Amino acid sequence: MRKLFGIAVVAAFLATAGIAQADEAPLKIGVIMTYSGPFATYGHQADIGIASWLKAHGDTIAGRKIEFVRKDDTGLAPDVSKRVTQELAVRDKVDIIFGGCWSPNALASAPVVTAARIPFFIIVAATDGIPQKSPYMVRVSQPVSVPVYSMGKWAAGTKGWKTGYSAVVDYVLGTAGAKAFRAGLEAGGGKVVGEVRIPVSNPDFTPFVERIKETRPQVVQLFMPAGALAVGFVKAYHDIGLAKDGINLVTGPLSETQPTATLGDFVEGIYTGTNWIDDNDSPENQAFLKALHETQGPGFNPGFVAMNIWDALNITKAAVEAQNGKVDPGKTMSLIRGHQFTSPRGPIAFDQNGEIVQNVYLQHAVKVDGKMTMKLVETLPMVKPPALTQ
Amino acid sequence: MTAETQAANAAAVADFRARARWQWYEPIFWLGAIAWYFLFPTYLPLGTQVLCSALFALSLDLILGYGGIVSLGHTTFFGIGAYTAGLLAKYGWGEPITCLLAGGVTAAIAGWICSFVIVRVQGVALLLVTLGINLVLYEIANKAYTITGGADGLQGIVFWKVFGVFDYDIEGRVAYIYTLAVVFLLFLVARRIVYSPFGLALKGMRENWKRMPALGAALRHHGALIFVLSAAIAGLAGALLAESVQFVALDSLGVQRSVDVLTMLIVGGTGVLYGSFVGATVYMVVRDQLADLNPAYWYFWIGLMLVVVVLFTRNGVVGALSDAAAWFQRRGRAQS
Repeated sequence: MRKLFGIAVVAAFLATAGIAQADEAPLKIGVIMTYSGPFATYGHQADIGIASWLKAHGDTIAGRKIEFVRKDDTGLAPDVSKRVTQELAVRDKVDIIFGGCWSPNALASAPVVTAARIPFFIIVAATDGIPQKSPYMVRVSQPVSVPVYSMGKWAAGTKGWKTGYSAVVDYVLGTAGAKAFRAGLEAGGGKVVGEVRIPVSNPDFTPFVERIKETRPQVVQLFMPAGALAVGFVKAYHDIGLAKDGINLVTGPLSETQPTATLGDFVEGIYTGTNWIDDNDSPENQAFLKALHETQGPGFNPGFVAMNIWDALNITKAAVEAQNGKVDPGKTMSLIRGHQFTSPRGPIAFDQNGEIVQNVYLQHAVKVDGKMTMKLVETLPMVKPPALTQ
Repeated sequence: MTAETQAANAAAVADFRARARWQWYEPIFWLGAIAWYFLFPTYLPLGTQVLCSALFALSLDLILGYGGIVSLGHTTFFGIGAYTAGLLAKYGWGEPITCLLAGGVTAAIAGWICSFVIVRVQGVALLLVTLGINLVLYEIANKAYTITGGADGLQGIVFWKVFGVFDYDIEGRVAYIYTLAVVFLLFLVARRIVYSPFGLALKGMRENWKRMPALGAALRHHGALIFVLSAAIAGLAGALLAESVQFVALDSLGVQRSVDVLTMLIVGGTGVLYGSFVGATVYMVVRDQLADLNPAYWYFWIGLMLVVVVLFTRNGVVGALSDAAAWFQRRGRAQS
């Protein structure tokens, strides 16, 4: 039915457009994101990233007009993700796919892009080792272990905090986070003296924080989804006064779209490790923010999904232009894997597995003139994913 | 045996035969499923998932539409089937047909265990019990990440070629044909159940479960039996989907899937075998087309469709079709 309809539409189009269409086929990019349900914000952020990039760079690459084919993966649904990847390959015949909003979704799509030989950019998924599953995958997001491992190593090695404690959310990413932190701390000469797994639905962190206080480690690793959970833990850490006992806290970003400094005084003293300082003044970041504010209005808080899409489009542009507008899958991957690019977050590179190599920025929340600021204490340059034993 | 009872028995047998006779529209339906393969070669992955969902909806129809047992947690058995097949394939045994059967068997065992509770409650309590069992299992699968992979999903699944010959291809041809064949066989099983005397007893249960014991029907026994059969078919549907996707994740146990399948069944029509197939096709094809038009706002139209179907039809799309057919027949008779 749809086919007949499609033929009718195409016929009508050809009748009006005549032969003007003949010169360059559009560059088709499939975008598989979560556009509906409770996590629709990911899809929304992706669209913002696309709109901003088009605003800044125009809508053609090497003479080919970019055409986006958007697909909804409906959330954590590997079956849907695999199916729409098949459809993008077989029906829409896209040149490149941006996707991988969830780790299982990316993993289910991997065999399809391997068979169809379509370069696939992982935009959000964080589970370690996903790009290794296909020779046509590259990751522009951040693998779980990278910031956590380097924070652990930095805490024990540079700061001399030899005893550590892991407070991680109780699901599979949390255990991966605890493992990477342990490895990092041990690499820096320290050791983990305690570990707690906190249920996702837990509203009260007091008992966990009290237990940590009794153990008296020198550093606590917090690994939680950004948002209410992470903020709640830091509040309890502040209220119970662990900082006064010399117990330091290292964590990832507390909020995806809000700068830590605007969260309030309770964050004072914590250390965060992140791959992107969203207000840094590098020309790439400023260009990104400018385009973002032009399309979304001034004061719009950037999110990492929009930035990852921005990077994916930049890398696509570089690879396609190097091939004079063609997209040969093997050639494209050889132009990306093993090469370095610039990103709003700083330099990024890809290893031979398609895994990203990027800076980790360690920041300290301190008060300057009565105002909370995130002070950059150290930049760990070009951190490779650690080799962790399973 | 007297001549009278013999005649009565013969009449009853004839009655059951008449009920079970193939209707004119049934071959058309299955030929349509075969035609899909040729007409829409780029929609085969969607077709495969429609068939898996339809089979799952059919399993729910057996308990809901025929037995009158409402369930908000039927995905429990779907997920058990999917994880069984997935785990077998992960640990070295990827033969599709045995994995499929194993999925059905474990789901049936789980269904048998649950049936002891299920047959003792009715109505709203039943909704909560089924939902509760599902939530518990979901959380177990989430926590037991060393076995299930937790939120990451089960990695490293490799299913072998079907019959050792046909490899799963990217266009989804093998998966579609294999799924269609399995679904058709299971449909025949469900059809046999529904038109048997046991099926009639189930309908009696649905219509009036207080009256049935007075007729001498073993209510709990019937309820438990159909629940186990339904769980087995749900498990087979889960294993089928796992085989075509070659991946299993927590969503196969998620409440969303229970709600989706209930929606499909209501859209299609309950207590009529084809309701699950029509419902799954309408729901998933409409959803796919709407999501292609606008990936962000298709839920609105799905919601609207559900309201319209429930408000204006007697029993889903199939109910509306049979009403329309009856109306045409009446009009034809009136004119002649």
